[in-house]
Amino acid sequence: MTSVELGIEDLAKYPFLEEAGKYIKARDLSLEDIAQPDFNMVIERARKRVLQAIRNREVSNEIGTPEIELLSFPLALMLIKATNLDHLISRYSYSEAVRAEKFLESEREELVVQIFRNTLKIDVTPIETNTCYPVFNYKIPIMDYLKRAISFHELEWKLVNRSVDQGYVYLRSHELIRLIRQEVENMIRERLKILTVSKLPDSLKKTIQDISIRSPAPNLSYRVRITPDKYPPCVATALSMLNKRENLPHYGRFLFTTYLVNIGSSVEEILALYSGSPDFNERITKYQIEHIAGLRGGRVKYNCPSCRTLVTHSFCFKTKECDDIQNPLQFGRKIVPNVRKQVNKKWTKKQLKH
Amino acid sequence: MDEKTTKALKKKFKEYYFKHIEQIDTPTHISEREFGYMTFDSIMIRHLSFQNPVDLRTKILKEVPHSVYYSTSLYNEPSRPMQEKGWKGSDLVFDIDADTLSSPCRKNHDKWICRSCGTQKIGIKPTKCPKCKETRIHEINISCSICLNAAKNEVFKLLNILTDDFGIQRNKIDTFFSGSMGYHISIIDSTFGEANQAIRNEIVDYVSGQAYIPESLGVSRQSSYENLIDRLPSETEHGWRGRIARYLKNSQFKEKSSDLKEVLAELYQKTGYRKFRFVIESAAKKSGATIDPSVTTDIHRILRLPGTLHGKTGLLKKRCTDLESFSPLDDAVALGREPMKIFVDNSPQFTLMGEQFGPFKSEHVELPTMAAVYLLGQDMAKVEE
Repeated sequence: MTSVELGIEDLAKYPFLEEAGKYIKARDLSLEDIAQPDFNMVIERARKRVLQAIRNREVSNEIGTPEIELLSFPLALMLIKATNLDHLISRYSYSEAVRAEKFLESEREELVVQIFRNTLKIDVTPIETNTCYPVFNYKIPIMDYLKRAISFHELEWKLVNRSVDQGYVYLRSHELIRLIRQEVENMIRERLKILTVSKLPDSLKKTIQDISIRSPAPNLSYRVRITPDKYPPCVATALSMLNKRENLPHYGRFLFTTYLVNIGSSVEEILALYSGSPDFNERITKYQIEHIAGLRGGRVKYNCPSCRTLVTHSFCFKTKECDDIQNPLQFGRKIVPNVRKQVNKKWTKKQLKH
Repeated sequence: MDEKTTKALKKKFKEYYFKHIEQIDTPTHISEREFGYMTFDSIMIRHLSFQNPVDLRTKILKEVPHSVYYSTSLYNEPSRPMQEKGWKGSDLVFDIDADTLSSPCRKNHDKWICRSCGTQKIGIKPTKCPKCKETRIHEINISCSICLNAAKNEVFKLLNILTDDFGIQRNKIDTFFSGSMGYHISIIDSTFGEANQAIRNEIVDYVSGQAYIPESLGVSRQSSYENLIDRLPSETEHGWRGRIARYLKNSQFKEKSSDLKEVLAELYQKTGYRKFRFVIESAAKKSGATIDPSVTTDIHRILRLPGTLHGKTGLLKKRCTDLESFSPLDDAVALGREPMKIFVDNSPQFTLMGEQFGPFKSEHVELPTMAAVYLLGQDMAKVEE
């Protein structure tokens, strides 16, 4: 496939591309230049980009003047960075990725292929579209698919529920595009992380202050002591097997221990729960719990396995209370929003005071 | 295991390795792999590395281990502790074990011993000891040609999925008899080498047909008959749609003469979404391969080294060049027929090289080395004075 020449409109749609960066660099504009009244529209669009991300988790996909749209992207990145609010980085990256996704969905095939191959290093092949069900537009190598699809938790994204043949996964356009949202998000996030903002012109300071005030509060971590009656069904099953002195399979043991370690139970508390199991050996079990808790060996605390992993190892006993959680540690999260609300309220008040 | 039995087993292994050390089937990228072995005193030695096959063979000859293992992963520094090794990638491996297939023959050749009261019986391990009601029960699995054939069928299912769906060439897939209950399937140098644990989980679910949903067949809660006829799969389709269609056509709906799509659409209309989902999930699991998920997903796993003896059976972990004709209880027998006097403590019947042995009660017997080691290794016998 021959390479597609990208016009200013294409660059405005996908400002995270290397070609867009080159175009802007060639204009040789400094921050001071952009702060001049001539660039008011660029500043206004940059401000809007950020505020749309904060309010709607989505940047609008309007292209008024392509040049303004394109130049406002790096400026928006600077505004975000200048607020010094780390949690805005994630929200903004996500919102820009959603915007790009919308454009890509209706993009011409050759440009989609070029962006995937050159920027995302995914070997996409367009295929002749079937007239009968199932209809596909593209195929990509299995590994390229899996690397991205593992972060989706809906069953339809599992490889087993995909059309797979001779090393390729067959996808419809919107599925292919959805697959790379996270990647575009990561690209923008990485760019934001390494971005350094030197002294900003005074005219931009007010915009930054405005953004800071309108920013949502970050998710603060909190700890709630979880009692056995609130355990997720998989952990409850493991506990019940131990209580009945049944032999808990290896993966059940791993789940049980990592879960308890992660909700803050002590090694001694966990050890006591194992003491009735067949073949219980206090020394070995204690060593294993300490290893999982990160107190021995590589000193790495193990995470609780995800629900998907538990399905793979036949240790998922899902009930409707599980409510589409991705990890047993999220079980019962419905009680959490109240806690979070209170924390956020305090944080926001405090933030406004300063 | 008593000292005399350990000594006798080690002697037999030593004699074997002395004559056949060249037959150890070393994996590629040897210098990037971790090696380990278990001694006859049950001590596990890990984090060894070798620059070439000669050094590895020399070590095996010197130590005469009960079992020898190699890492399925490649590392920058394989002899360092796990966190410092520097993971470079892992072979894609699968383990198929006869004891997970619930073959009906298991009741004839499995054995259990209650660790609390010492009761022992031939048969499937109970959850509780019928005598003392304790749950501390040790299980000994013996394989026969029936359950090993069932395992081989699973290997064929897996190989079809790997070649047809994953596009892996047949000659890039190594198949080995594990030396005991089943088969190891290994793919070295593939694009899947860099796959992390989460990706390997997905591969496991794919090959075993886990979490398949009717929506992938074009069925939803609101599907109409016409809609279903348009969307349901035909037997000629690739991937899981075709596999499920072929399974249903050849098993559950064998008798039906009409088109499979019509049969399935009628089934859906008659039973509703939930029951239909159950039929599809069950078809997916049955047409997938039954594998041990933890072997495929563990990227720090060590596996038995091909061409070495299994410490519990005295059988070889052996490459199957022609899987169709491979007969594990003949082709993997490595030890000879020199007679050994042993005292057996209840053993089920088993067959090696076409010859049947047992069942034995508590009795003194003289058996060819291959059969004696088979019982000694599994702690069902000890060496006589």
